[in-house]
Amino acid sequence: MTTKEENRVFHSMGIPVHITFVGISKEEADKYTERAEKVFRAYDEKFSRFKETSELHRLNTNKGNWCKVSIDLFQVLKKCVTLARETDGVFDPSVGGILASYGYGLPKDFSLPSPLPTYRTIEFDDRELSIRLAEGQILEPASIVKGLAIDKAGEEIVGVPGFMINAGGDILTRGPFKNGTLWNIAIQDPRDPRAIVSIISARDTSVATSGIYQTHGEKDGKKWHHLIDMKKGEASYESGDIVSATVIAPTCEQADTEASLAILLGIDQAIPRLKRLNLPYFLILDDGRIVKDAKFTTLELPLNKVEIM
Amino acid sequence: MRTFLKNLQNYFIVFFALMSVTIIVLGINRIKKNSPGDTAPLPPSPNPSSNKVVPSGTSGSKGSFTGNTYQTPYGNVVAAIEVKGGKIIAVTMPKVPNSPPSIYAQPYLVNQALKAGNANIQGVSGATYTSIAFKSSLESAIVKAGEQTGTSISGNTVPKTSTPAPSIPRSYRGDDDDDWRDKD
Repeated sequence: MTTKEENRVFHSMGIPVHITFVGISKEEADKYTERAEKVFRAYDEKFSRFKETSELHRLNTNKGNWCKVSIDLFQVLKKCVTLARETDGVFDPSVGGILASYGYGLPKDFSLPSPLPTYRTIEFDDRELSIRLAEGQILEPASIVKGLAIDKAGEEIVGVPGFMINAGGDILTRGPFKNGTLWNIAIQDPRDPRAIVSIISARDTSVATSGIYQTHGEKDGKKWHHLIDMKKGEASYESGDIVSATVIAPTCEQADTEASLAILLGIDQAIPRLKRLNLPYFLILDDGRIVKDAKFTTLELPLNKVEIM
Repeated sequence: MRTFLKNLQNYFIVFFALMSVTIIVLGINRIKKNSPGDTAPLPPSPNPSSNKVVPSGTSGSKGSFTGNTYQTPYGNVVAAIEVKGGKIIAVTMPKVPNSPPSIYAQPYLVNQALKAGNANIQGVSGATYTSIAFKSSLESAIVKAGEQTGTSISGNTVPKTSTPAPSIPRSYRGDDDDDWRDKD
């Protein structure tokens, strides 16, 4: 019976995680929510740059020595380095240092070393599952971790006709919504958290949106956000920049990663990359223009149709 | 009557979109007269929310082209395309009418969003909103609407969540609507 939905919300990694289940009982919904929450908690314990007890923090403060890590952390950081190579350093997990120097996350009272360490100084020992960073190098793999946690949480939810996980705006869908319909997912208006600019209908896919319209603070008189072009070493706006990038992908990890990359790469590089990966996209530029590809458009719902129930 | 007007609106949009598509394909073929390779991919099939593309001048196989303004009963349509290597790589809409979604139609979208519970949206994808911001976000309104649906089995429609309600003007809240209550 897929006419009932159950909604649950918990908070992890500093974000709300909203799960909608279709066709199961309240008790089952509680059970699966608990499983999902366990996954998020485990990822937070491992990858949080805001927790002194996390494995990442232990690596980040290991003063340039070899550090044995779990296979999860090892694999995620290897992926980060691969992406850094692909983007010629525009994406770099070493961004953690810059963020820490802004007072965003650990270590506290951090001053950037000079020269700034890059992904090139990260060493991996595949046999020992060990990693060595340069001294004063702080890693932040956030673009990958959130999507990965969502995918893993989704794997814990089995035998459910349909469900959706929305963790702070990154969404995974499996199966249909009520009565065999698709999930209607709206894209947030960068100017107003209560407003939307588009709606798509989909299932068995993931959607993630990265944006630089939510700034975290000010440094030296300039507002900054968490997506920093590591080649420039700062979060800078340029006219014609992408302020919001929405990407649809088979996994939330990929959607999350590519949405963040799109912002970092800028429109000239982002579009060819997304086309090469064959991922539908919806970009909002700072001058108000919307740039989207043909596939995304075929998934869109006319807003006026959505209004009538 | 309402259905008729909607169909009429759709008809106009589809008609102008088809016209634009035809013109742009002819325009692109003209650009590529001297260059080999694939023909440019067509812009997306027209539907009420797709961009409508109209070429104006063409110069070479790369650049941005802004089309002429077309008037429709539902507003003006201007579209722009980015062409590279003779292919359309992006379609943008700097100026849009009321009907298709656009970042310019703010008052309309805010009204639409506030009716999310009625509008059958299951989730909002946006740049990470924190747990603090969640309380005033659209997503929390959706959770609230969904929870009300879930508890209607016992006939109790009082929301279980203690999340503070977003500050939505009364007239847009749709409290009196039956639509989102679970129908079995």
